[in-house]
Amino acid sequence: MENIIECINLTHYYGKRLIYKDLNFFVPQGRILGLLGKNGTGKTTTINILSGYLKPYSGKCLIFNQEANSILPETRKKIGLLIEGHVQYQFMNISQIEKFYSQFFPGQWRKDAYYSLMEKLKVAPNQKINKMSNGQRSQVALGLILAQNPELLVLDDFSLGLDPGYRRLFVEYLRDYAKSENKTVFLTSHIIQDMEQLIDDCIIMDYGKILVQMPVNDLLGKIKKYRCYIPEKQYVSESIDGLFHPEKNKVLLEFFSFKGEQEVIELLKKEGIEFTNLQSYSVGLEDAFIGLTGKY
Amino acid sequence: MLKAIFYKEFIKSRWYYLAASLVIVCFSAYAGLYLNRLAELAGMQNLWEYILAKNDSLVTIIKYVPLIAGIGGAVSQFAPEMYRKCLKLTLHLPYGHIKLIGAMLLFGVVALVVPSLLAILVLQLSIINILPYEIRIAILQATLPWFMAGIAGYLLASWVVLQPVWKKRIWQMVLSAFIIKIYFITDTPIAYVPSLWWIVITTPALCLLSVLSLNDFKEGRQD
Amino acid sequence: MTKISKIYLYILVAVVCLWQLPWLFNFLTATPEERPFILYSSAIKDFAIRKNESGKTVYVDLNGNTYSKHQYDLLLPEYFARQLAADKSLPDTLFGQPVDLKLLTDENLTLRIKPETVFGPYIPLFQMFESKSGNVDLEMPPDVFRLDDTKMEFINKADNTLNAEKSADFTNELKKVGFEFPVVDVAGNVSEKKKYDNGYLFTDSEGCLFNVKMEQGRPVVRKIELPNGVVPTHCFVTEFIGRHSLGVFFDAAGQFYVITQPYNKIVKTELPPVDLGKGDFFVMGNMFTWTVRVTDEEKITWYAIDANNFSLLKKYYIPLSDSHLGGLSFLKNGWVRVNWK
Repeated sequence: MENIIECINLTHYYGKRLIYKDLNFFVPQGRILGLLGKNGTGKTTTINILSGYLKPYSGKCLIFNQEANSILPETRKKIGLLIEGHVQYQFMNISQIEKFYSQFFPGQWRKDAYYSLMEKLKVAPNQKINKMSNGQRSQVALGLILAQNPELLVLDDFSLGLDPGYRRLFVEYLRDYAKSENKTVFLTSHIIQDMEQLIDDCIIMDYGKILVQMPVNDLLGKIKKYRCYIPEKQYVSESIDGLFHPEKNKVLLEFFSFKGEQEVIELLKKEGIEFTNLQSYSVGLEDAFIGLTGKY
Repeated sequence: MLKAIFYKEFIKSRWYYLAASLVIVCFSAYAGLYLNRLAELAGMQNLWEYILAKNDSLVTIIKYVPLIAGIGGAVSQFAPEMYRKCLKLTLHLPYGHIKLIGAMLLFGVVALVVPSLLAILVLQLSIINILPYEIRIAILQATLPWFMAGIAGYLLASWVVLQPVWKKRIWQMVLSAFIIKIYFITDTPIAYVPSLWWIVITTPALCLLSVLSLNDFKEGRQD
Repeated sequence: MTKISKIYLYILVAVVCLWQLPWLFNFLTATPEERPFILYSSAIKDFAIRKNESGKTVYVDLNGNTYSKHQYDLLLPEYFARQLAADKSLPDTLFGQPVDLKLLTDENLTLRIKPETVFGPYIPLFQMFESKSGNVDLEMPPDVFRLDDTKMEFINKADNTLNAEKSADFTNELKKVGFEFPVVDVAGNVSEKKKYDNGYLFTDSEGCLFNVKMEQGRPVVRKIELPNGVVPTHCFVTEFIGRHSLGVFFDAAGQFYVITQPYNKIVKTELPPVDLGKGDFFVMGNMFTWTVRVTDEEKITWYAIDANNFSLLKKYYIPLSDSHLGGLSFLKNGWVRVNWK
């Protein structure tokens, strides 16, 4: 499968602060990839580098085999971009903005896709975008991307400022569109529960590095939440290789791990932890995310 | 696509440019009316003698109007682009970045040149009966640098507004202020005649500066 | 494109720095420069100098003699005649010539030529006074005139219309006397406050000099005979009360000439050539001598010349401080143009 996005040894600093070092990932054609991470781990930085609005300190980012900061206009036709906060030209109304964009995409523009979404909005055609709610604006931005009919969609924190109804609407539209037309999507969101229904693959970032990059189904199939009881005075190290964020609450110990139950038992014994009643649970994406990245 | 960019600029700043055009033309018409009233009240003889003796165009009321209109034009076009980094959308359009910014600037320049020409025409027509050709030409030559300052103010303000880094914005403003000073060295009619060609050539070239701000924006520079 | 933009930005920065930094330096480091007031005294055949020394006005000559204020006035009775008359110490003869207050003051003259009056911008419309109206006071003319390649045209101020008849009269008269259009230099004084009118000095395309006046509405054009090889480049009509000259002019080399009255005879002065573009040219004269002050970037020079034959009597100069930092300037002689100063 052809890779639509390839980021190779991406390193970036803001001033002297390292955001990440030697980040590598790729997005194959037809996949929906979600970039997950806590605030400040570099999600927007990555999107900015990807969309050509930030020059990385080192490394390169290729989209359709072209350097992200010098993508040819013809290639830009194949990329739909959603900026954080669903920003669109505030001074235009919904018909003006459609008229404007349509002229840049002759032959590929799908006016109907835009207007069918706009009909659901119940706004007058001459209502300016700056007079719309966040939710309405998100639909305009989504409608424009759907009308553009790009091969790759890059969406920066699409859930920002949206209430659950609009979030659900957005996710459903996007998923149907991407799957029915074999489109590639790269997105970030800070609301993980939406992602589970939307993304095929995920990258979970921690400060300065990638924690996990795998299909969501694999992740949810492999990761387990463990719970057991330990003596109250039992010391538990915070960094045990193979266990994520062990959290002790008096006699209750909770942690996450990709390892099977037997392996975990051996690991705990090796660490000298006395435990009883070890139980494992399957978890959803949000719990898995918190388990891997920690609450703090 | 050029038409589409012009369309966007039109939607964005049409009310501003309409108001600015009215102001430019009205100030010019007022200057013409002022000279006509002077001719009536003080007499044409005294008016001519005053202008010839003092080498004064008597139309300095319009001096800073094009400059202010130009700076306002840049703000009206580029401040909405910088608001929540909307410029990202513009730069993502499938059109060359230089062509994009060039087209946006061209729109602004045309939107300033048209009312400026109209203003010059209004002023010249209003004084055709009361002043001889030589004085009319002198007044034209006195006002031309001011109208060119409008274009320069627009292009320099665009450069400043498009700059994403505040520290750089401030030094750009300082440099711009000095460049603008060149257009206001003297009010004496005819004094700019040896420099008019230079001004006509170098002023439009100020659009090159916006490319540098654009590069800073594209490289994601910030304070 | 980025490269060209950067180069253009660097050029702009360089221009602004070369323009504003020397200006700022000169502005901050400028110190008051005492410039003495100097006039030639026929009484001591030397320059009489009034200057400020530690806040006090002192009167000296070049030989180091010191004078009191009254003694100084007596050194220059032609200029300070009113003060001397008030002090009742005005002599009744000077150098064997009987004088009185009126004669002395009427014979005094000043002429100031600044670079911008010679080279500066002006609107090419002129005003011809009536020289023989019969009235004591002059009146501003009711029209202006222009000179183009083939004719002289008068335009009425009252209604902005062409006075065809007067235009034809003057054009024909000019041509009759041998004036060859187009005009090269036009000189005249537009002021109703002047005591009388000497009209204009025109230099034609052949380098010939003409005095053009209007007497009782009629054109009066006189060709002024120039010495062989002399071509005036900058002319000035004098209109001094003493009426001993019609005007002065400089040739291309900067040589200074006086057109003496009543016969419009050209007298070449012994003043060395002057570059009018470099600074002020200032004359203060009396019935015996003229003191000419010439200022340029490096020095101020005073020349004393004889008022009758314009021979050089004495010369003195002081250098000007050269702490001025050179830089770009956009204003020269009233014109906006790039120059280095």
